[in-house]
Amino acid sequence: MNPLLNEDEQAARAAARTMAAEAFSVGAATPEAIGAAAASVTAADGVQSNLHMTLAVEEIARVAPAAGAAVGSVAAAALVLREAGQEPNGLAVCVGGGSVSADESGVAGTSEPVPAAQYADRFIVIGDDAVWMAAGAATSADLDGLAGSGLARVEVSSGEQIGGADLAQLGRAVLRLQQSAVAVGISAAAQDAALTAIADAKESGGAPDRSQAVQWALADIATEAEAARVATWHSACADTTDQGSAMALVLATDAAAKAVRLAAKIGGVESAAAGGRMAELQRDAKLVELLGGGAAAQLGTIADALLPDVPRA
Amino acid sequence: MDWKLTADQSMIREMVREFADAEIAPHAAEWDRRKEFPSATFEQLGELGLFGMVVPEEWGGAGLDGTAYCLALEELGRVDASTCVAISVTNSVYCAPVNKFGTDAQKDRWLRPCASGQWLGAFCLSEPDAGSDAAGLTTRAERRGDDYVLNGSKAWITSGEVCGAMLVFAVSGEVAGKPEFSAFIVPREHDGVAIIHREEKMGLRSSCTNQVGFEDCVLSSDHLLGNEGDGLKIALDSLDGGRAGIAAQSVGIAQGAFDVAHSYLQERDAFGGPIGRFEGLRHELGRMAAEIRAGRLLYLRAATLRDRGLRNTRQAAIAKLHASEASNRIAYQAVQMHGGYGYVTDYDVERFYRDARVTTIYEGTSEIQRLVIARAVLQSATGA
Ligand SMILES: Cc1cc2nc3c(=O)[nH]c(=O)nc-3n(C[C@H](O)[C@H](O)[C@H](O)COP(=O)(O)OP(=O)(O)OC[C@H]3O[C@@H](n4cnc5c(N)ncnc54)[C@H](O)[C@@H]3O)c2cc1C
Repeated sequence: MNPLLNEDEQAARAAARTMAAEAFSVGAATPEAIGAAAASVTAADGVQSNLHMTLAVEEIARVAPAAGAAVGSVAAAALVLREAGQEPNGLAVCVGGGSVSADESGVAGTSEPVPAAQYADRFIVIGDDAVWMAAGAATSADLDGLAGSGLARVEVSSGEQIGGADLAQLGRAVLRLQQSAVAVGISAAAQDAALTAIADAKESGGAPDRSQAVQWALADIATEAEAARVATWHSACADTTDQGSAMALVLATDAAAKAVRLAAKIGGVESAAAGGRMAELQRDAKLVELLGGGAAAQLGTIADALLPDVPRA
Repeated sequence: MDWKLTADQSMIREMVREFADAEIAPHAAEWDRRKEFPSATFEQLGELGLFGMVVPEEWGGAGLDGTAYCLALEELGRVDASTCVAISVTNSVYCAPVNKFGTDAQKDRWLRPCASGQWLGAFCLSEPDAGSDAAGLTTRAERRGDDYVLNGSKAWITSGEVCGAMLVFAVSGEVAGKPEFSAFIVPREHDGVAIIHREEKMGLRSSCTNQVGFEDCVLSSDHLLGNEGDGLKIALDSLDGGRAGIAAQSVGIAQGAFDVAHSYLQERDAFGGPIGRFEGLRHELGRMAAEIRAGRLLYLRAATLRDRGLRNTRQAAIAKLHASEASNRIAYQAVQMHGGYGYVTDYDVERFYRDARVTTIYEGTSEIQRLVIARAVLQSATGA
């Protein structure tokens, strides 16, 4: 067993960190930057694709959660297309949920909000047992959070089936994994923001790092982020079942919501400054927690796997 | 990244799982009720090589890595945390430091018999007035010619009354006005060693937890482990190793509580069908499973780091904090899912609930883990 990143994986993570800082540290992400980043995060020598995606998306989300969500969304679609043997032309995203139905007979309906959908020209519809490439029209979701991620609902209509139940399961798993990676990135960003707040306070003569309230908050942020990170990595490498990826997502979104709350406490009232980093992270964490059906959907998925013979009431 | 277990790791997990299910699980509740240390079962565990799992074969051990050891602890914790704690102490805070810091002569005399399963080891750091604050120890080791004379008392000593030897930490001098600590290997039957009493505990009731006294206990210098003044270093290094193990034990307890709750949700009927069909309980079960998985992955990472000779202080503290707190939440929830039956001793779940409680306390409380983790995070921020 070697549940530690090997050299290639560490190099891929470091490269993603550099790329994230260069491409996304200033201003909103452009569709071009998102497309380029997504193309680079789906392939690296010696690194398993799912793992590479989660490593890179975490690093991007740590700098800019909205960009991480957009790149993750496009990268997840690219992985599904590759698995289906399709050319990764243009900019595709996976959609599902909402009122979308996708089965052997066809696709129709309006999806849940999906990052990067506004910029996409192709839509992969993930149903329970089938995957379709569909035409669609995106409508801005107008939600508070992940500003600049191109979040939109998509109305899908006609299309062509490109895979069955196995591809659908893989699609759901990579979607959850990229969302988990965004959430882990937000936890890391919250830790960074807390450390910045501590450094600023020290410059003004304070010593918040000697306060146990601050120390414990930092420890809890680090602990839960690490738990979510290992669950995400494990699911990316070893367990792309619905259950494994759902567990990673529950842990990661819970951790992110808690991390931003604790980091904001460390920063004090300045954390609520309009347009400030902490306030933005709180909105982003909340939205990432809610996308894809939220924890309730994931917990339902896990429970269904654990209790196959006991149908839900 | 490769999460697959090696052949040895899988083999040891299977072996311990089978033994635990066949030889421990059927009796654990009864041992707990009678507060009985199961000596005969420990003889079997010793024969299976579980006392010195990470000790090289040349010293009588099984020569396994720390990951395999943690997997074994999880399997024991899953059925009986009392058995698990004695195995944990003997391996990670007795055998491991004696193996790492001992001379060949010391290993021959005090490691080989323990690692080969003849007797258990104990670890005597805590005192009635000094637990988390290990620097506050008052047990003294005074030089008398070539010998040391130990005086003082130790509290909460797992397996104190049933061990063959213990690793004892004492103040051996002073450097720049601060106490200096040393570690000594002390056979239980040595003159001047007395078992003062056995604690009456909330959980882990078939494990012995003793107060141990040392009165004019004369030790020749070959009982000193490492050099004079190495005590704190040895204690902290042992605890770094031990924490991943306690995380594994916590995951085991959580898994045990989860397993009984999982069965109960399918067996117990209410409002015309199994209670497992209710969404609220299903979601709780899902969350329990996710937390168990995270705890397991965290201890595996911490153990692997140590197996590779890398420092794992932060990862081991994270693993212990997460897994021990989660095992308490999970055991609590498992009792809740049993309703009234969770509150009576007929069902194993109340034992898991009581046993989980200590995991956030021993081998460094959750509060101390938080301090360790925060220090590491703050140091990484300043590049220190
Ligand atoms: C069943 C059992 C088995 C044990 N086995 C062994 C054994 O084999 N060998 C051994 O040496 N010890 C053993 N222990 C002792 C155990 O390790 C200690 O109980 C533990 O380290 C806590 O020490 P304490 O009990 O003195 O509590 P204290 O240190 O007095 O702590 C009391 C409370 O104060 C908190 N606290 C202390 N310092 C700080 C701080 N700086 N900041 C914030 N909060 C703080 C603690 O977290 C705790 O909540 C065992 C204990 C039990 C219950």
